[in-house]
Amino acid sequence: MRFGSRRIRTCVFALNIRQVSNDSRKPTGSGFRTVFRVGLIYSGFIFESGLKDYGSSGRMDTNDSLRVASLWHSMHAISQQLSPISGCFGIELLQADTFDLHCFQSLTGTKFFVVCEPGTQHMEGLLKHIYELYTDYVLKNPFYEMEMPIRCELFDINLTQAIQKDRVALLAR
Amino acid sequence: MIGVGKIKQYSNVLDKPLSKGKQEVSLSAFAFLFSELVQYNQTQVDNIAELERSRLEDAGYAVGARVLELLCHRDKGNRRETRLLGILSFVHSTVWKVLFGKVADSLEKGTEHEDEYMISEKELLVNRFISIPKDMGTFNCGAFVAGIVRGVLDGAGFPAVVTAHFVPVEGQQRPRTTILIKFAEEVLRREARLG
Repeated sequence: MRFGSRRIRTCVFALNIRQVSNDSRKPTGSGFRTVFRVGLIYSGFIFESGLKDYGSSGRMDTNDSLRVASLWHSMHAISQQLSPISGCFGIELLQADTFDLHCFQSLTGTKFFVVCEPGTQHMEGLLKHIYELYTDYVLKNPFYEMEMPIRCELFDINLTQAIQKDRVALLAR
Repeated sequence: MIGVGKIKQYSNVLDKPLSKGKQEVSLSAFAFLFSELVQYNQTQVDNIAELERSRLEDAGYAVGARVLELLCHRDKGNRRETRLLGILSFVHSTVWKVLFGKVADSLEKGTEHEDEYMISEKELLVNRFISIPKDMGTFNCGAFVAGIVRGVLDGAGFPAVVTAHFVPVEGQQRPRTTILIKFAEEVLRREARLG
């Protein structure tokens, strides 16, 4: 199975986001009302080498982030083996009573995940965008060492911008 | 070496005009190559100043010397600029356009010294994806571009000391990069003689 040959990477970052949760209603053409629940992103992580805590407002320290990351990594790996379908790449979405966990895995096995309010939409797009930022501002930075914590100013700036944009887009909906 | 060009789609290959060849290279490819250049040179030096001054700048110098040769041949019919302001605007516009696809943001004369000129860029292409760690202080990968400028100037007979600096801009999160050019005395003397 894939798990055996894959390097175990542990790394985390938590996004610096705290969104105001609110519900917005949007009427659709046929008089049918759909309720969109606007998301509260609790935290986001990149599983890779380095460890980065994007200041989840003191709720999670480095050790906690690491714990969450390694926990998720094992669950992800186990799920690949437990899956009834062959060729499974692991958990993409975990739905719990109090949160949703969206996970995106890049081809190299780097995992990005976001923990958000149940029912939050468009997290896949956000994760893909974060992946893009990661490849641009982390991997193209000569001073970033693989398997080390991500300390890249430009990445932080752009990530914050992406999250804010996402929040604005959510609230506008 | 500017961003990935927008390639126009032609349904019929015969409609496609004959081009001068590919003028642009992928920005990602360049960024990775440059990143490797910096990383390799980092392993070869003892301190950061050496990396900036001798390694990156020398790499740029070789590029600059070649760029001057090429552009004088291609754009100027084998003539080169002989006056100070002429060569500066040549660097600021022609060289910048060929290398980065745009004219440099500004070209200014230093206020304190007669022999100093500055080329400023809001976001230097080589620095687009690079975040300097805090412990590296004022290190700037723009040293590579400074080297290019020095190569061009030196080749054209204007020896100068060229350095790259970060200059904070008010109301902006990111500092801009200034390429500071300090000409040698002989250049200014010659310039004064020419009037």
